[in-house]
Amino acid sequence: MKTSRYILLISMLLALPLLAVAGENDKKETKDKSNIADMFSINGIGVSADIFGYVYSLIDDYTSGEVAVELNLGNRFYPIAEIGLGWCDAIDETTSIRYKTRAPYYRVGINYNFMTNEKKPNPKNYVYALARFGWSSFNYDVETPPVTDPVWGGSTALKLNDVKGSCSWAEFGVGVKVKIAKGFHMGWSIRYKTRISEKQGNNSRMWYIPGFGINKGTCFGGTYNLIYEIPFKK
Amino acid sequence: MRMSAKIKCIVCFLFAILPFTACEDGYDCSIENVAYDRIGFYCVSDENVESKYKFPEALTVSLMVNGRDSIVVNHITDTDNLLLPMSYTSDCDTVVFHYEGDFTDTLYIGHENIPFYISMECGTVMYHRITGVKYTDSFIDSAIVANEHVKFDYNENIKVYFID
Repeated sequence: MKTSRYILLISMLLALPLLAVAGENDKKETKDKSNIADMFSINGIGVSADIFGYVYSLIDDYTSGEVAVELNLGNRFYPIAEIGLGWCDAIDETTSIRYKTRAPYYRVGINYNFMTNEKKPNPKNYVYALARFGWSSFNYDVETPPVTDPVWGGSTALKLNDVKGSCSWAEFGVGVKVKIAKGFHMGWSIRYKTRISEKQGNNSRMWYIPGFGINKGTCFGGTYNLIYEIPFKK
Repeated sequence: MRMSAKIKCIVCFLFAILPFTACEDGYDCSIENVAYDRIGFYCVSDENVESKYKFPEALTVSLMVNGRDSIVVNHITDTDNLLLPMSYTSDCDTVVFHYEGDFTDTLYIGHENIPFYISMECGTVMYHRITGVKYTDSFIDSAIVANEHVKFDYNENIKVYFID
């Protein structure tokens, strides 16, 4: 089951560039080798920070912050690596259960720019589709009020410290980047996340997963990025 | 910069499906909040064939936990299994079978109690792990642990073999 999920994920990661290449082939069957080399030439490198998480932390008990490095390949493909820190310290008002964690997470993937222009090395605006593979391995704490025996009476409290858990997931979505100053872009992305695998801790389920969010089978996420790009071509 | 019709279609498709792709809730807060120990009644024929055993006469079952005695079922007939609530704090529950004619058998169920945190919304539940069974032998031939984990499922946990 897990193997088939990985195959599906890899297929989808590969699908975007293949789709683009196929589209190009339809129109430009006579494209020569130099054009293909241009398509994958390194035009620049970009570093970005997600500021959405820091703003979100003002309104909720859990959030994350991340930085990323991306390569610009021919203004079309942007392989990207993201590293972030997710944290949560939440107490449920109804059940009085406290869940706490703070751990790093990692993602790798690719952006595909629809508004590409190979002739101009540093495009101002982007509209892109994205695919990511993310994972996190972390410890969490759970404190619960006493569990009361409804038949015989008596109660037992549950306190779990440093429970180990891990999760991997895939993300697909779209995003926009707009130039705001020389070298600087701002942008956002909307991401649909689907869990691939999870390793539960003893006597508990993970409630919040750094980088993924609330531990549901699927969910949405978003980023709002400030990006600085260093062009390799003028 | 220009966008081909094909790419426009892909972008439109992505935007169109996103709102309809509802988040799946990974939690299923169980309506039940007590994990029951399921005991099945069996007998073995002379040909060594195992079959379900239904009491031909009225059966009363009481449960003793932490020194408290409580009747769980009273004068039932034609039954071949029992569902028993397990104690959250004791490590041994005592089940007493009262047969007609003042005969009794006692089944001792040793268990661990395992609090399990499900989620912030669903709270914590108690599971159990059966560590062993002992019994008296007025009408009980033997008893075994069929499935040591007592959770919110319909698995039979203990098999009690009666003398037919």
